[in-house]
Amino acid sequence: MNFVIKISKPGFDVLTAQNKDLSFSSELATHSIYQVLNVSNQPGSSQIIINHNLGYIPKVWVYFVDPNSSNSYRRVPFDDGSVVIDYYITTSKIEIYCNDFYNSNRVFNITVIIFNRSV
Amino acid sequence: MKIKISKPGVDVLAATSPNDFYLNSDYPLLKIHSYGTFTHFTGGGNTVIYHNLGYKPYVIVFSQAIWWDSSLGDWIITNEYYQHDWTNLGATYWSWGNTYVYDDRIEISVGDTYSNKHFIHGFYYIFKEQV
Repeated sequence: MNFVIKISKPGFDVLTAQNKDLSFSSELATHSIYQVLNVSNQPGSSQIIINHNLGYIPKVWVYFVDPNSSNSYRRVPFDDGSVVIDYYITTSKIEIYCNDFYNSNRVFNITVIIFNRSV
Repeated sequence: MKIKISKPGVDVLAATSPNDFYLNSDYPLLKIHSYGTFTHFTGGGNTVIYHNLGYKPYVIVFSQAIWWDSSLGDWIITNEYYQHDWTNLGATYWSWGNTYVYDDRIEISVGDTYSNKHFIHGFYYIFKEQV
């Protein structure tokens, strides 16, 4: 049986609302979260590997604790000339590379959000 | 009780991959706390947007990119929007778009090391989820 579920934003008639004015539609993909992980690199190592084994390349967001202030988070990819953090996604894993060119033993605290959607 | 909606062409009862669903109540959805646009002056200071969530939320921010135009010998504002954090690194001059996420606010900084005279446009989404 095929049917459609729609929830409109406040102030919009769900029967006539355009997609941009909906909070949910069963006809449109959503951003659902598969997994959230907090990881760190080992001192002296720039690489972090996370195995997700989903069999497809998922959408991923990566944040890290600001190296200049633990009170704030920054978004990856990041490059300020001395600290460079980047990541690669494959069908089985996420590889994160974090480098401080002035402190090779620096430890980065990183949050990885893996979404169910493929890229 | 679970609610699942599969993608078109996928049998919801047979689907197994998380990527097969438009909605699966086993997995939480991103929920938007607030969103909007901003104008930022590259001459100094941060643009501050308060969320008052009491924790550091997921955030995505885009702003117009600043590029060095060698024919003009000056920085120019492009119509391209880059997701923060971005940096254009040159041998002498840089441009950047950075966002700092705090427990009560986000602070946005966009600028370059040379002209510092532009107004740039951007937009943001702040989500309910905690980093």
